[in-house]
Amino acid sequence: MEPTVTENAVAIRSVSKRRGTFALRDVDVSIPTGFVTGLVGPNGAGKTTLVKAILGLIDVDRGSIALFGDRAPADPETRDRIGVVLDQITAAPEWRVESIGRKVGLLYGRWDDRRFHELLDRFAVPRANRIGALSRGQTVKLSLAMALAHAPQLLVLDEPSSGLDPVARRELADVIREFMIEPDHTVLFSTHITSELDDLADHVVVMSRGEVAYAGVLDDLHEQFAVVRGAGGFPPAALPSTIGLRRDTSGRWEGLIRAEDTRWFGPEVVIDQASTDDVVVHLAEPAGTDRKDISA
Amino acid sequence: MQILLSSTSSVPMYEQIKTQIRHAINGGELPEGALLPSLRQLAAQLRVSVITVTRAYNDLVAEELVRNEHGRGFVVRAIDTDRARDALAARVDTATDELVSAARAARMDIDDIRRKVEDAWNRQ
Repeated sequence: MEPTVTENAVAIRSVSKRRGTFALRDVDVSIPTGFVTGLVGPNGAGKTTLVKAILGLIDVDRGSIALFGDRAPADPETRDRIGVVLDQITAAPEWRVESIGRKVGLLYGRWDDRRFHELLDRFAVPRANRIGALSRGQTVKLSLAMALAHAPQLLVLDEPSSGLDPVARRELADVIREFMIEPDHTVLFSTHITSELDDLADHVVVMSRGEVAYAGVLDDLHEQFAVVRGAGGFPPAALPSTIGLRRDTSGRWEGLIRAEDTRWFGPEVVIDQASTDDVVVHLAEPAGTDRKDISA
Repeated sequence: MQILLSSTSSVPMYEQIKTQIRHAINGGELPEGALLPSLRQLAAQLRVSVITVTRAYNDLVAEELVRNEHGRGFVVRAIDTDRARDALAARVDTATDELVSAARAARMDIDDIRRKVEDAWNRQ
């Protein structure tokens, strides 16, 4: 069956989910088909919970998640169309790498064992080793080979690059770009190393305390936000429009503003284009807060 | 056509891509009817995001240098000679402005400039 291509690979509508003290609140966001979307935010912002909900690994309390138009996350056919790289591998440590196809391949409708072995060779993952004996980098590459071996349309990677060296991170980015040559392919990539998204992600979703703080084109984020830095008096009129204002003990302050709010500030401040990190750091604070916890 | 990108340049990536393709078109390396690389292939080759190349290609369409042919891709259009001449003339204007401000900064007068322009003209 030829899979249909929908505008959004994933559509998340008003999703709420409570897990202990943490809660996803009213998350409403789409992952567009044909693009790489980065999912960023500090630890505990809700990235992994959202990823698990998309994969159908947890149920949500309210709202809905649809994949490929009208598919439920837990639907076996949906799972067949998704390749997943999580922080832990879904295989037993005593299994040998080369035997994975016989074991895990059965779970997928279209596991391609030849492709799997090609990928193992390309990533230089030793086939005869037991999974438990692989390095962190080799484990990620094995996960990636498993994810790609059943020809998915959507590739979901949750913090794949933590523990990877620069060479392996670059290889990972290259594999993602190669995957994206097919226009109906989609990638969702969660990371807390935001610089990894530069020149890789098209869209970005910034999570903060269980909510979506920003969703849109990555380049637009840099154009829409600015970082303003000053010393001494902070213009009170600017406080409501300043996100996550931080002061240090010497009286210097730094905050995130929308580009149109630069009019509140005079020539005594420095205004820079915001990096993805700036946005993540400051959006983690509520608007109008005045924290005095940074050192110079 | 080889595109080389600088990752430390202050010029955005899409702008660098656009400029280099524009040069290839105006210089005849990409003649009328030539197909630009598929934007997804180019993004993977250049190690940039799909949206970056899309932006460069859309700008080239807006500049009427290429057109997006459905099912085929981005195709180089015939060079509009008037437009090409205007673009070249605009380059002369920019260079002239730079020449004059540099000469003023060096406290030269108009005769110094004339002499220098004549020397350069005869030399090239």
